[in-house]
Amino acid sequence: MSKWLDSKGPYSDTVVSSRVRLARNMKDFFFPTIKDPSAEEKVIEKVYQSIIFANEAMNKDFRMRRMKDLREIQRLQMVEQHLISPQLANHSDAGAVVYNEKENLIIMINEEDHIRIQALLPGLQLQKVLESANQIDDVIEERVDYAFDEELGYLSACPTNTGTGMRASVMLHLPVLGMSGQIHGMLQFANKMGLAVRGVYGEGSDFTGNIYQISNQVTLGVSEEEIIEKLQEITMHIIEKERNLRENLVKEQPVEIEDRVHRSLGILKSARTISLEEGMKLLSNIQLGISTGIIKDLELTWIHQLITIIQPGSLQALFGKELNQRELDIQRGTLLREKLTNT
Amino acid sequence: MKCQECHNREATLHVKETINGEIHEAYLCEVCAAKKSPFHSYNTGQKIFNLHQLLSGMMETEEKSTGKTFELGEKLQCPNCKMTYDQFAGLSRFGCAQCYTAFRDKIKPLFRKIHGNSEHRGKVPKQQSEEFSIHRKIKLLKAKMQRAVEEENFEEAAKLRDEIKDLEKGL
Repeated sequence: MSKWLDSKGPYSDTVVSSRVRLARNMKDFFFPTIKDPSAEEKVIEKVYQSIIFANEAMNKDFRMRRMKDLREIQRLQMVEQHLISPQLANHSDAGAVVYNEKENLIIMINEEDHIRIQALLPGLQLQKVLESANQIDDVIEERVDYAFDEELGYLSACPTNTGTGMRASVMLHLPVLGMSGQIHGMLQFANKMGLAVRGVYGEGSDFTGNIYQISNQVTLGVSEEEIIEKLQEITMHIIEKERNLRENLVKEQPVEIEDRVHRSLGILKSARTISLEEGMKLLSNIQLGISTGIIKDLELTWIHQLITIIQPGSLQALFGKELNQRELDIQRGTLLREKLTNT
Repeated sequence: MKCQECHNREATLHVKETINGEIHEAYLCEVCAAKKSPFHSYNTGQKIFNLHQLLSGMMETEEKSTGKTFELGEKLQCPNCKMTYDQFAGLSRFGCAQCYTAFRDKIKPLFRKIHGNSEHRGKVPKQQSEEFSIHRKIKLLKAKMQRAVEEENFEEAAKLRDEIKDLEKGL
C-alpha cells in the first residue's frame, strides 16, 4: 500500500496523485553513466548523511534501503508503490533509496543521476509537491556540491533533463473520456502543448484502468513555476471535460451507467479468478460509481489502495512467495472478493 | 489522422527516427507507439519509444559531420571522465559535469532541438554566489516585465521595473 495515498486530495474524482521529481548530480563524481564502485558508495553516504544530519526530525523520519539488500519481489513492490523507478530496481545494485515514514518524500541515489528527489501527494496539489521537493533539495544542497552551470542550470546525465532537472506529473483517472473515445483528442492536445502522456499500469500497451500520466517534457529555458502552471492549466481543462462527460452520461443513460457499475461490483464480489487487466477495468468502473454517487459506501482513496495491492509485485509480497500467472489471478480474485464483501 | 499501424485509432504521436542517416517517420497512436518500443521493463512503467535511440539519432557524431574518422587522441574528449563526444552521442548520456564544458559548442544546438532553448531560467542553488543569483533574478524579472507589458498590465510592469532597479543598485 502507498501510505501517502490514504487521504483525499483536491479533485480526487479525476486526479489520483501529483508528483514532482528533481534530478541532481554531484560535481565531484562521475555520473552513474560510468561504473565507478568507489564513487557509488561515497555518493550514497554523502546524500544519506545530508538527510539524517539535517535536523532531528528528519533523522527520525527518514530511512535508507540499498538495492543490493532487497529481493526482486520487494523491489517490484516498491516500484508499484511509486517508491522507486523501474530503472533503479532493474539495472543496479549500486542504487539506494532514502524515504520518509509517509513514503511521499523519496530520494533515489545512483539511478540515472546521482540524486533523484521525488515528492508525491494525493489529488491535484502541484504547488505543494514542488514546495516539498524544493525543501529536500535545499537540505541536501547544504552538504552536497551540486553540478550546476550558470547557463545550463542543473547538469543531468541525460540532456532531456538539463536545466531545472524537473519532471512534474499528474496521474489521472479518465474513464468516460476513455469510454467515449474522446481521450485521443485530449492526448493529442496535451502532446501539442508540449506534455508527454503515458499509461501508468499494464504491460507496455494500453492505458489499463483508464489511468494516464501527464508530465512536462521541456526542462530548460522555463522556470519550475512555469512548468507547474502549464501542467495545472491543461490538467484543469481535462478534468472539466471528463466531469462534463460524466454528468451527461448520468443524465442521459442513468440505467446503463448504474448497470455497468453494479455489474462490476457484482463480479468483484463473486469471481474466483481475476486478471490484472480485468481487475483494473472493474475498479475503474467502481471509481466512476463512487464519483458519480452511484456507490455511496465506498471511499475513492481505498480503491486507489486496492489498485496498488492487486499489482503482481505487491500480491507476491503479500503472500510472501513467488506466484505464477494462474496463482496470481486466483489470489487477486480472492483478495478483491474479501476486501469488497467485508465492507 | 488515423494511426499508420492499426488504421483504427487517432494518431497522436509523430515519431521520427534517423537510422543510418535515413529519416523514418510515422504517425502512430499511443497504443501502437508503445508496442513498437523495445523498452519494456516492469509492468508499472513503459516508455513510449526508446528515448536514447531517438536522441542519438538527433546528434551528429564527429564521423558524420566531418566525413572522416579521427585517430585516437584527436577526438573531442572530456578531460575528466575521458568520455569522447561520439561515445556521448551514442549513449546520449554525459559521463560527468565536465563533459558539458568539453562538448559545449556541440551540445548547444542539441539543447535547442530538445527544449527549444539553451538557457536555464529556473532555480539556482543557494550556495552559488549571491551576485549570480541577483543577475538571474533580474533576468527573470525582466522576462516577467516583458510579459506584463505584452498583456498590457502596466501597473504590474511598473512594479517589476522598480524591483529590477532596486536589485541593480545592490550589484
